This record gives sequence, C-alpha cells and structure tokens, in this order.
Amino acid sequence: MTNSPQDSSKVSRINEEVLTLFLKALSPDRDEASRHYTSLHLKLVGFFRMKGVSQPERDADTTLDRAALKIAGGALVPEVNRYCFGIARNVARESLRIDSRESSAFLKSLANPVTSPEELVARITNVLQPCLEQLAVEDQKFLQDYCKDIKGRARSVHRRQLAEDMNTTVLALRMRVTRLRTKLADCVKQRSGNIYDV
Amino acid sequence: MTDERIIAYLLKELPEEESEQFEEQCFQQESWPEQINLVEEELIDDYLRGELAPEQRQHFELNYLTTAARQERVSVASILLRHVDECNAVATVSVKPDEPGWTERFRAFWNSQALAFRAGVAIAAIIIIVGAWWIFRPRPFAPRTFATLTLNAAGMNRGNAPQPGSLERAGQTAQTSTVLLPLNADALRISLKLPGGSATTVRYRVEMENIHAEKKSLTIERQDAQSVSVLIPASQLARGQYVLKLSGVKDDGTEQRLGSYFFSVE
Repeated sequence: MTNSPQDSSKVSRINEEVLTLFLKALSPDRDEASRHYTSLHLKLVGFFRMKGVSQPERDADTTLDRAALKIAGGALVPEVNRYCFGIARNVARESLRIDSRESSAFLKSLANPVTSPEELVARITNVLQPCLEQLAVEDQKFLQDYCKDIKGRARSVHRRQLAEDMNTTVLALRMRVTRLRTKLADCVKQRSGNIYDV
Repeated sequence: MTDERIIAYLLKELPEEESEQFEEQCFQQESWPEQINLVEEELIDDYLRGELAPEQRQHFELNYLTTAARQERVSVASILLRHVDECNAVATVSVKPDEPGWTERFRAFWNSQALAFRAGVAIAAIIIIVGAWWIFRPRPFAPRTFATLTLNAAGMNRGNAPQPGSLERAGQTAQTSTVLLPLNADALRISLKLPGGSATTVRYRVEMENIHAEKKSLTIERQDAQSVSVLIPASQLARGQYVLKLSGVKDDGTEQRLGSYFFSVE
C-alpha cells in the first residue's frame, strides 16, 4: 500500500478524506494545519536535499502521503513532525538505493564520450550560457564578484568588503548567491536533457 | 549549529549517533536551516578550488560524492566557477583611487617618525619576515611511498584509442589505466613511454588536463631514453578523467607535441 519514492503516479493518490484527517492531526484549526503542512513539506525538502537524493520534492510528497495514510489507517501519532521525520529517513534510504542505480540526465551527458576535454567544456558552456543570461545583469556581475578565486583569509576580507559596498551583511550575500546558484543549477539540469542538441 | 558541524555531517565525520542527532536537530527547527545549503555550497567551492585539507578532501570524495545529485551539484559548480574565472581573467578593471590607499597613508606616517624609531621598527620587521619565511618556507614535496602507473601514448599501437597502462599498487598488477582511490601511497608516479623518434629530445614538458580543461604543469621527476616520469601527490588526485600531454622542447625553445596519455581516477 505504500508508494515507492520512484512511483510518481501514486504520489498524489491520497483522497480528500485522508488529507483532512492528516490536517486534523496537525492542528484542529484548518488554516493553522495548512501552514503546518506547508512548513513540514519545506522541511522535508530540505532534509532530502541534504541527504543528496535526486528528487527532494517528490520524496517529501511521498513522506507526507505515507504519514497521512498511516494516520487515516488508525496509527496513533502523538507528534506528527517526529513521525514524518521517521518516515522520511526510510524514504531517503529507499530513494538513495534507487538513485545509485540510475544516473541523472546531466551526469549521463557528461559521461557521454567526447573526443576532447575542450569539446566537453564547449558542450557544457553552451548549456550554462543561456541560463546565465536569464539572470539579471547585476546578478551575473554579483556572482562573478562573489565567486572570485581568492584564497584563504583574503576571501573573507573580499566578501566583507563586498557586503560593505552593497550596504548589507555577508550572510545576506551568502543567501543571495545560494539562491542564484540554485536557480542556475535548476536551469542547467533542465537544459541538460537537450545537451546533445546544443 | 556551526559551519564546522555541518561540514562534519556532510563529510560523515560525525559518529552515527551524533549524525542522527544532527538531522533531528535540523528537523526540530521551525523552518529548515538555510545555513546548511550555504555551507554545502562553500564546501563544494573549497573542494573545487583545492582549499580543503588532504583529509577533508578524501572524506569529500569518499563520503560526500556518493550520490548522483551531489555529483551533479559539484559538476554544475565546477562549470560556474570556471566561467567566473574566465570572466574575471578577461575583465580589466582600472580603478583610480580618490583617497590615498593604505600604502600612501603608511608612507606619510612613516616619514613623520623619528629616525631611531624607524630603524628599530625596520629591524624588527626584518626579523619577523625572515622568521616567518623560515617557518613557512616551501619545502620540496618528498613522498616516501608510490603507486606506479605506466602509460603509452594514445594511438601508439592501436588507432587513436588510449593504451592501457599497468597499474602496480600494493604489490598487485592490473592491466588498466585506471587509478583507484584511496591510493594508499604518498604519490602516484606515472611513467610515460616515449613514442619512437623522440629519443633525441633533451628536455620535456608534461601538462595534465582534466575534463574541465583545467591544466597544470607537472615537474619531470626523471627521464631516460625510453620514458619520462612525473609525480602527482595523492592529495591532488580527484576522481575523473585526465590526459597528460607530453611535449619535447627543442634547443631553440620551440615545443613539439610528442603524445597524449589518458588515465582515469576512480
């Protein structure tokens, strides 16, 4: 009855009744329960990302579905958050086992034989360039400044200076660069399916 | 939650129980700690920039790079950093300072001091600099144990296919041009068989290139009429495919490519 992390067709199969029971277990107040649900989903995505699974969102859905089905089936769950965490650990194990047998489209494209390293670099650059161009010019410039190859302590000094120049904190810069890089990585992954056509 | 603890978790340096506690601690927070993504990204950058300590580097390769999603993260980061480096290399920035820099300010301060004070400070500075140089002076890399790989130039015997080398490690001989990590030795000694007709060359140059086209010149360890050897410290070996490009340097300084030698590290 449990859905496999790889089986996306079953991910959204829980019905209204099961979902209602699950939300009630989160909070008797419907709005509060929805907020809990969203927050729990985001935490699960973070957890699966940290574990290095290939599809964190899908695995978060799977975890919540399994928890909802268990609760609807009469499982006594005093602490839903903790309960979901236990399920998430199992889902992560299953997912990583399956992932280890499959390679992503992006990695497959890298593994595809090339005649020279230059060809490989050109192939990848062709994917990266349009993704970079989707970013605002100041974001591109910021990435370039922030990721400069500076060694050791000089790097911290450089980033502190950058934050000062931009009238913000280093932490805010780190968060900004992470968001930009996540956006870039998603774009590169999406385009890598077409890597052979570029 | 400190950056160090996050790194230790990601590199699997925490005991299992502590690792589970760490995950639980993250989950107990109101929202998932964004700090983890930041630290992970910086860890990847440090790995790619060669800034990790040898032990951390080894843990990164053995314990972190274990899933396709993480390998993908590292590959994308590597492409981005390469692009950034290229852009920064091309960019020529000319900044004319409006205010005196710290050198100008120091010079003004220095000139306003008495001669005796300046002499005393200068002597102290020389002592500190010489002392620091003595402590931190670069010492030649002197490995004591070696893994050995012998490679033939691609296309020497069969078409353009790279020829298998012979990997001798821990007394074991395997007909392959694949080096397995961990190396269990201080360095990898690669012996490049010279192609016919290159025996008259007296000086050689070897350049190592990875799949990201990052190049590095290697120092020739020894050479004779049949082969040229180079050493690669174990700490500098990362998983991937490599090509060693061997060139002969003529007396007039011109270079001639003698062969390409392929191997991979797994």
